[in-house]
Amino acid sequence: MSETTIQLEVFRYRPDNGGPTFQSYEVPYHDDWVVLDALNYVKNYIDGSLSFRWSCRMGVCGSCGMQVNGEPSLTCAEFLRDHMPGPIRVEPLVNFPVERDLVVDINGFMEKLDHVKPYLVREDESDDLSAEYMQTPTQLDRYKQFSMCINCMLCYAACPVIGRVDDFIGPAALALAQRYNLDSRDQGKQMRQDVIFQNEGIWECTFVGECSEVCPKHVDPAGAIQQAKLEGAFDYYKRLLTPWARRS
Amino acid sequence: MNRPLDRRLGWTWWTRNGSYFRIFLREATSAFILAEVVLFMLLIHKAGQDAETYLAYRDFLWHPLMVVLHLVALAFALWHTVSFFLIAPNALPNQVAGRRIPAAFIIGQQFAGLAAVTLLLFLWVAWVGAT
Repeated sequence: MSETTIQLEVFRYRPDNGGPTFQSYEVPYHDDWVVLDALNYVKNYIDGSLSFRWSCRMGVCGSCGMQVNGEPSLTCAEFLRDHMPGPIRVEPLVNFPVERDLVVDINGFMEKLDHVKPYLVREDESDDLSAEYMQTPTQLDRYKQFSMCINCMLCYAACPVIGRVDDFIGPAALALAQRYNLDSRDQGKQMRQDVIFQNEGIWECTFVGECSEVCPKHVDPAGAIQQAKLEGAFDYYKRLLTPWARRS
Repeated sequence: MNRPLDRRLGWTWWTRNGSYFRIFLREATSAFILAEVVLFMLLIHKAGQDAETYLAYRDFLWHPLMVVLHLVALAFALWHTVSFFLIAPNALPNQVAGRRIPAAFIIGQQFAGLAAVTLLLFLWVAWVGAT
């Protein structure tokens, strides 16, 4: 009996070897295989020159994000069976410069992430590593959803504003800024707000909402940004009406 | 060595899939709302002139093509309103005074508010018509 196969149409780009093309590979079909398994099969048995990123294979590391049939997806969570009979078109994430094949340059994203200080900032930072900052379940609940981000960048590939405005900080970084701003243990809100309240911050977002649709962890970055906008508007009017008050 | 390849979503992003297209269309509804606001302001302006001018403009608003425009604007306005109400819970903090607010409550309150305002307007128009 002949083995069932499925065709992959894979984006190829070798910067020293002409423009981008698509290359087709016939790979075995297995009911429990995901697109990443098929790519690894290509790499191991058909064409070792194919380049792509992956690590954990279980939707935690956020490394294997690619466009699968035009949709930003984690290839480790995208089953072949959902795309039968194929072909399946695999491309690098859009809105990112392509280094080679399915590998994109993420330096721009990392810089944006760094700008929003996605970590707990304490004014009373001490060398005492045993210091504990207690939190109630209700306080945790305020930001928990936004803390599930794995930096897979699918939201950046889904965002049309990112494609038009180079300096837009973008969904994941803004959601993480909101996550730390809502954390009762954090004291760095003012520093972050100076970044996220700029034009290239929350105000560039037009609430298309696709970032939340493609998010594999249901973080809802679009919601986080709208909440930050609401806070930004309140903050503006508060400062306008009470210019003598200290900024909180 | 060649530069990395640029693959950004361009200005035709809204043609890529149905979801993008619906969002584009939702934003385009504002053009119809604007048209209706302009027509309404013109109506007020004409009402301040002589009766003949006002009646001619009123007849123009009843032209079949204008009626189609009004219906399309109404459909788009309702669609925009409903979609706005449905996404409102995402744009609000999930807690008020430490208590979670159910999304259904936020959505329900908006529809109740719309119904109340609509009812009041109808009652007011009926009262003005009767007096």
